[in-house]
This record gives sequence, C-alpha cells and structure tokens, in this order.
Amino acid sequence: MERNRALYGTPVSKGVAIGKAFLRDDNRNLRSETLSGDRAFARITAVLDEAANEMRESSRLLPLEIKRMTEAQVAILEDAGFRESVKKGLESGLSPEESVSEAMERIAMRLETSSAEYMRERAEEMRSLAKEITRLLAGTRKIPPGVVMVCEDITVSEALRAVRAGVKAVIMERGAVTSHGAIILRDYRIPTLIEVFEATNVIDEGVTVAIDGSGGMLVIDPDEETLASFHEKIADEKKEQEDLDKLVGIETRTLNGHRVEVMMNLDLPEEIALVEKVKKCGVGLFRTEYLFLTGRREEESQLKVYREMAQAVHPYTFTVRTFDLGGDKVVGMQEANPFLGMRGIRFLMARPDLFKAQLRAAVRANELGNLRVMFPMVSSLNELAGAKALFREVVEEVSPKHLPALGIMVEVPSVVMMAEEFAREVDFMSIGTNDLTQYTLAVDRQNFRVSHLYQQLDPAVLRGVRKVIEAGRAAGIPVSVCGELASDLAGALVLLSLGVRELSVSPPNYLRAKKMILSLRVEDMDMIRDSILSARTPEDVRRMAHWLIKQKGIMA
Amino acid sequence: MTEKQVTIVNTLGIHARPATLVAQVAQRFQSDITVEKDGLEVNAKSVMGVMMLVAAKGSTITIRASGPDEAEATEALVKLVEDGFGEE
Repeated sequence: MERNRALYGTPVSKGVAIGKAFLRDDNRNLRSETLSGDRAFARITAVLDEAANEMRESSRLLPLEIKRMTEAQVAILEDAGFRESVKKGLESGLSPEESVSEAMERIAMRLETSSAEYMRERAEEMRSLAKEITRLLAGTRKIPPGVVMVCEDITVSEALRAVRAGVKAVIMERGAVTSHGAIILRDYRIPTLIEVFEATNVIDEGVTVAIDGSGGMLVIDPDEETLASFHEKIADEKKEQEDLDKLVGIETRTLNGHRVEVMMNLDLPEEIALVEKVKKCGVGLFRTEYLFLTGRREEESQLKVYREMAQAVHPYTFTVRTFDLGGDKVVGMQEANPFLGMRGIRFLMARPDLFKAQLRAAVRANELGNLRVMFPMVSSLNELAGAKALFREVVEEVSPKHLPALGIMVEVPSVVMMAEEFAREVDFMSIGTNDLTQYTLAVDRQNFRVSHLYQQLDPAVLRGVRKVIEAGRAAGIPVSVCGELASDLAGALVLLSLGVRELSVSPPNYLRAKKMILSLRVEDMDMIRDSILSARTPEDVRRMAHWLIKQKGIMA
Repeated sequence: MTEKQVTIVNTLGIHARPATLVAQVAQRFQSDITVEKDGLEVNAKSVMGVMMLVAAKGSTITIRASGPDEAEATEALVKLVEDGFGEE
C-alpha cells in the first residue's frame, strides 16, 4: 500500500502520537489469538454473564412488556442448554463469535419455521442478541500497550480499558466529541480522532500510524520525513506542557487582581492524582456514573471513595454529583428519546434505594465539611422538592457533624427560566454548558447531521448563562460553569464578561483555563458584556471576542 | 415416570418468556423432565430447549418426568401451560 496516506477526522483530544495500529473489532485477530478450548469458553461465559447482568440491572425501570422480553433474553444467555450448544460449536473448531452466532441461529431458524407470525418475528431479536454478544466478545479483545486503537465507536468501559492498557491514541469511525467515552480519553490526554471515514477498512492491523489530534489528521505508514515532523510536534507539545506546568500552584487571578476559582471535573476516583499534580484545586463536579457502571453501588464502597477524595481535595470543595444515569449511559435501556426520558434526577427518584444509598454515603463522607452534593438534570421545582425531602430524611438518619451544601446542575432551559426560584432553594448552582446547549438549541450533539448547530457560544445559551449568574447573585449563592468553554481564549473571555467567577473544567484544560484567566482584565470584559448579550448569532459573539483580543493585545 | 399431554392455550404460544417460565418451574424439581412436541423431545430445564419446540397456540405437548418428585413436577408444568403462562 502507498505510504504517507492521510485521513482526516474531528479532533476530540489534542496531542500528537505515533504507534502501531490495533483494530479492536478485528474478528480475524480474535480467532488467531490463543483463545481456544476451555479458555475460549471461559471468556464466552464471562461475557454472557456480564451481558445478562447488565440487561437485568438496566431493565428494572423498563415498561413491563419490554422488561419481560429482556428477562427472556437474560434467561437464554444464562441457560445451561444454550451454553452447552456454544461449547459444542467451539469444540467443532468454530471461533468464539461463530459459536455464539451459530447457537443463537439455531434458535432463530427454529422460530422461523413456526406458523405463528409472532414467533417468526422473534427470530430477528435472537439474531441481534447474538450480534450484541459477539460485539462484546470482540470488545474485550486484550489491548496491547502503546498501540493506536482503531474502532467504530467506544463505550465508557472500553475507553477505561484503553486508558488502563496505555494506548497511545484512539481513532474512531463514528463517535461524538461529547460522548462519555471520548470525554474519558480527553481527561487522560489520549490523542483521539472521531468521524474518521472508513478508518477500520483503510488502516491495517500493525501498520504505523501518526496522529495529530489538534490538526484532526492522521498519516498511515509515514515515511522518514513525515515521522521526523511528527517527532518535532511531539517535542513542541512537551515544551507547551512544561510551560503550562509552571502555572502549577499559582493563584488564579485576572490581570487586575480579580480572583477566579478554577476547579476540575473528575470521572474516576483514581483521577484525584490529577488534582494533586496541580498542587490542589476544588472539584466542581465528580461524576459518579463510573462508580455505578463499575459496580460500586453500595453505600459503604461509595463512602470510602467520597471520603478519600474529599480529604485529598480539602480545604477546597469536593462536589459529588449523584448518579446521572439513563439515556446513553445505562446499557440496554431502550427509550425513543433517551435525552428526554428517564435521566438524572428522574432516574434517581424512581430508584430511591440507589439514590438514598448514595446520599447516605455522601453525607457520611463529609467529615471535613468540604463536600457538596449536586443533583443532575433537574427540570422542575417539584422534582427538586422531592429530592430535597429524601436528602433531609438521610440527614436526619445520619445526623452528620457537617451538613453538605446542596446544589443543582442547570442543564435544562426550564431551570434557566425559573432561575430566581431555584436559586432560593439551593446552596449553589452549576451550569452544565454541554447539556444546556443541547437542550436550549434542541440539537443532539451526537447526531452528525445536526451537530454543526451545536454552538456553546450561541447567544441563546449565553443569555441563559447570564440569567442564572444574576439569579445566583441576587440569592447570594455561588454559580459555577462546568464545561470546556473556558479552555480557549474566546470562551474564557465570554464567560468572564457574563460575570462567571467560578469554572470547572476537565483535567487537561485546567492549566489552560488558568492561563487564559491570568491574561484577562475584568474591566475589558465588562466592556463587551452588553454587546455579547445583544449578539444575534454565535459568529457575532466570536467576532466580538476576537475584536477585543486584538484591540487589547490580549495574549494567552 | 409420569407423562401428561397438554394443549397450548395462550395466543402467542411458547415464545421466549413462557419458555423461561417452563425452565424456571422445571428447575425447582429434582426429577428429569422433558417436553416433547412432534417427535422433538427437549430438556424442560433448558430455556433454549423449550424454545426450540416452537409450540404455537393449539399445539399439544407431552410433559414427561421421572424422579422422586415426578408427579408434582408434571402437575406444576401442566398447570403453568393450562393457565396460559399468565398471558391472554
């Protein structure tokens, strides 16, 4: 094949890397692996168990009819007869995937012989179940260290596996910038490209791939010259990071001395190391979904995590956001409109067992008084009242020395419109710009057909931010902005001009956001507030920001 | 050995969920239990086996059990089928 072939995609995570391609879903490789006989069967059994458990767990909230169907599918996955049939396939020399497909196909074909239409329709369901299992089998293909992983898309658990395995970069055919798998890769600064057309077909296993995450480009089988230029970029990047590292431990103030609080958003308990690396800062958002997905749902295991993290962050604040499950995060949950469905606080109120265990863990973990509790996806005052009642119940049971501050995520336009009322009900608010943008503009950020409409600098979103900031001031409570807007100069400038004085960003952007703030002057920002609030389009906003940057000679 | 014939009464027949119920009930008993339809005889304790019968409404199946609790097992399964698996 020709050398130096370039492919393009959308950057998710900046950074340059060089490594050998590893095709995650390559079944041929799975087959050639050392998996045969008992080991292959053991892995299939583990995958079937895992799938059955996930389906059972996530089906609890589903309507009865679908729940019954799921129960039946779970029963098949766990059925000794089915497993026996898979085992026979393996023994006859089939690959793990083929064995599963074949066993399921036998059921499907029998169903198709039925005179009843209902039975025949079930055949397709059996086949898609088989596909799901083979996907899981392929997904668990062991990732060797130091590779460039090539795949169609990535789930949260796959991203975590990739991080642990030490992949150098990830290339996806599909994916979305704000999907949670992508977010994890970005937190760990793993260069990642998404929407790389035909990547899994064009890139061969084992070939050298050079990726430029910021440029949205990769080169397959680079020649010496190209490799040299990538090595140069890697060196530049190292230099830039070293410069940023000099900001560690410096207080974050604007040029004229206004204090701006910059905090981190964390996804995993292990990421507390990233807070320590920057000589400590607050955690504006600790997402607990990964605890849930990795099975840490019991009060005691959560307590341990929250206590340790809150202690590590002390004297800064540590904010626990209760499980924001549903939509894309609960595997197997089928809803026509998951983002308008059983998410966040709605899910929690439907599962008081889970919710209460989490609240108890958080309240008990607040030994030093720096822990805050935050509810996700609140959309009405009634919901908030329900959640607060449960919280009060927990506080009475636990009677803690320090009462945790209680806050909400502002992600739904209804909360923006009722911001004054909400501000009087809570101790703090945090604006989630990703979801707020999505819900304000009615754009599914994961749908590539409309994702160009997803603009965090849209004036509609910015007016919402301003309204919430003002409501917070009137009620005397802090309001922070959670999201990556502050990591580029224009975004940081716009947020400061809207009156934002607290930010929470992902770990790789922490020092970058700090650098932006150190270069800005609040008076300059105030100057453009009115123009930004009267802007008509995101382009207007950007133009104004860049005008100011040029006018004032701002350099970050 | 105890043997009994029973006719499927629920509209949708033995699809996945009823097959699960049959297997779950059968697993409660020590006896070896099989279900037969049109010459195909399967292990009643296996969901996959029972599904393979593809027993639609109106078809007749034969339940056979042999072991210490064969009578109870056969009776429990017959009742499950006659009740239409709690479906219409």
